Amino acid sequence: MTGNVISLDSHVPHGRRSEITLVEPLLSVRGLRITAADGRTLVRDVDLDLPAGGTLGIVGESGSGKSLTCRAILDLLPPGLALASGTIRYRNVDLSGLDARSWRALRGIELSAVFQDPASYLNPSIPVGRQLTEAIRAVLKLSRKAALARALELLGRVGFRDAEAVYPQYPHELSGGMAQRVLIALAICAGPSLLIADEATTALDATIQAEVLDLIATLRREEDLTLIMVSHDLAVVSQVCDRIVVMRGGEIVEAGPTHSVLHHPKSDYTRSLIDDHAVHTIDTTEGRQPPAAAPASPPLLSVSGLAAGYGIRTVVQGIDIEVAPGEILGLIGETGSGKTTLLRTILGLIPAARGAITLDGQQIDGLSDRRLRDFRRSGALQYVFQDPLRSLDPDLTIGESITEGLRLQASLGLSAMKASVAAALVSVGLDPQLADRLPGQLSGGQRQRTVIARALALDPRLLLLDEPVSALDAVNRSHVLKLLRRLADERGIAQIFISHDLGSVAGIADRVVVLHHGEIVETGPARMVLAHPAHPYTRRLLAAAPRIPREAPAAARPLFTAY
Amino acid sequence: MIRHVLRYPSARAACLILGVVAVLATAGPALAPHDPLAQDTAALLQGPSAVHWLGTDALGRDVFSRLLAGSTVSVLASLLSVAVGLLLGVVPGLLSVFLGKRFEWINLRLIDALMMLPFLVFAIAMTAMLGNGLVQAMFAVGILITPVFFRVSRAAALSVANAEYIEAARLMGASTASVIRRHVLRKVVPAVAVSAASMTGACLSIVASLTFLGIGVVPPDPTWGGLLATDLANLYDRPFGPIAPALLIVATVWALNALADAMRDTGTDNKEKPA
Repeated sequence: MTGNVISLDSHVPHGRRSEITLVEPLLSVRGLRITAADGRTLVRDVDLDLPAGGTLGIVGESGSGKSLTCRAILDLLPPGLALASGTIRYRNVDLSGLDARSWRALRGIELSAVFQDPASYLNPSIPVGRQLTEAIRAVLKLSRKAALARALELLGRVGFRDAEAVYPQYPHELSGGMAQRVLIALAICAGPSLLIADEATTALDATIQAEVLDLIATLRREEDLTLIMVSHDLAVVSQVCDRIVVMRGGEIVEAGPTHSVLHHPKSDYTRSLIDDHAVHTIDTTEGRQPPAAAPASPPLLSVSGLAAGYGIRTVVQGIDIEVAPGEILGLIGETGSGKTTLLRTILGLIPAARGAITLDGQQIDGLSDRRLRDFRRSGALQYVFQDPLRSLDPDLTIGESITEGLRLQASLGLSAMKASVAAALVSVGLDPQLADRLPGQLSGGQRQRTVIARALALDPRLLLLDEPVSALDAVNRSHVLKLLRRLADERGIAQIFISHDLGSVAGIADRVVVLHHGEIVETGPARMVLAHPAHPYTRRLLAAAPRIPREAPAAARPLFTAY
Repeated sequence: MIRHVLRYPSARAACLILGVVAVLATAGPALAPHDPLAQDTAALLQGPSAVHWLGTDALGRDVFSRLLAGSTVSVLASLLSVAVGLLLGVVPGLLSVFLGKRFEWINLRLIDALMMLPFLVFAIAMTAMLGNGLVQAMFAVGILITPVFFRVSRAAALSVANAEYIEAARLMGASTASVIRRHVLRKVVPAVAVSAASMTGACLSIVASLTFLGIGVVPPDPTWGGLLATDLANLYDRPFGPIAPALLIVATVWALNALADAMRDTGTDNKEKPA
């Protein structure tokens, strides 16, 4: 069942590739080339071979063409993009020659897929069970009763203990992980041979991601699936796949068995992906020293006995936090643990039910509207949103966005405004000429830096960052993390950094606070907590984080450590 | 935006027609070959000729001159209605999103009440109350089209009111006024422009209907709708009479609607374009 049955290199220059195949590949892609309507080539010269039962991981940052390649295999290219050349053969049938009717008989039945954002693939107004039953009836032509039985069985197979309870629920009643399980059930309902999982676990918390990955791996064995796993995260892919293809800028830069790609990478790019992962992997031995002056200096931010929530529902309680100038505090917890609620309370977006928040000795909770606005205009406290694209006005240029807070502060001249925009952009490592661009014209990493630049333009004392790197690929993530660390060290900007990704916190935080069900369960120096977690919940979070194996993987290594 | 709109052939034709109408509205009376009010009892109800391009009416007045002279009033009247509607609709429409629940509720109920009123009847009642003048009538029409602008601007503002970049602006201490000015207005203007264009067309036909009924304009003064009415009265003698004023009204209304459609299509096209 391992991919070693076939030792054919997935990417060999044209004309020189050997024709020795031990097993007829289930899927074979040759010279794939995808172009946009304006003539740009988005994917070029992609060759893939996948034997039946094999597992292939495709790794690359956003825009590397990994998703487009998968979409081409499913004939689901976005409008405006076309398959310019190359062949895709499945069970020795050329897929490019198929008409719409043949595709309907193939897609979702033989070839199936799971995508990143499960909620958007479910109809919000129909119970999930019924959607599953309808799909089963459509593809398997079963009777209503038989389809219902099959749906319940499938829900059980994807890990719902009480399938009958899930059946009548609407998509909004399910968590992201549960919705993804339902979609996996939908994907395998017709017993496909090939399953494509495109960033299927990216939007999930570490523990949930581990569970879903585990599920995919289990199903692969039990259902005899051939799997293509697409991710920006090398660690995720390396846990499940036998072979890995690394893509960049629409081309394959490296391909080979997982073990050799991870431990003997041939290309510099792959090496940088692995190194970048190591920078903020939990195993990092290079921990940060807490600032020496920390105990002496009075805390910049002090939160004591805080409780807050929405209406009568209390989300966080008994919160005591202190942040010293120049200190980075990592706030860890799963979705629903109250991390974001805590930040929003500090920002004054949610009123504190109990407790006090002071910044630099000044009380900042329970201010009147006018005093709150004055405090906000001072710029001392700045917030960096999780999704930079949504927190930038799409109609304003980068420069206009950055000067927004400055305009509110004081009437600066045009040249002073331009100078501060340039200074802010330079301080986050961006070209000042980007000031005239619109957010839509920037890459994800550039946008996140822009949002940080907007906060920096106001000369903040404390930055609150909500998952600032979760939407970024490995390379950009490590650049942004390094930038944040530098801001703390050189400009003394204290930061509270929310993340469900322990790796990124471990890389830069001085101290971490672990939140669970709205309460702090553990706190201490980052290195201490991550190396020797005291609380079982912290241990569980740590165990769930994906990592690149240090040793050569054994043939039948357990996918995840149990927790 | 303008360049995008002009990619549509229908929009180019519409702009051409509207350009001609604009010339008529500004310079119409000056361009008229005859005095629109001068009666020539020697030439009643004539057909088109070299002297009278569109013939003469029952009092011997030159129809072409009357059509040109009537343009100013007809066009200005519809623009007045739209201006009133914009002012009374867009401002509360935007504020209803940002000024709290109570303000929102009162506004919504007022707009609901306005939407019940029938156009022509309300306009006729207003002129009966305030005196028979076109300004009074068009003011009434302006009030009646307020709900359109209210709804459109409110919907556009609602779609961005919860955007994260607005929350980001608030966190930097932005007031409601500056949030609307910097972030909301840009999203609202295209939608409002589309309905302004189509509403101008609608108002033009309302002006025509009102003046056709003899409301708002005292008899000797010419308007497009008034011409249509006198032409219809003499249909037996001048069967082709109503064609010219009717064509002018139809062409202008069509042009405004075509322009509105083109603007709407460019708006959606731009949105569909991937980032």
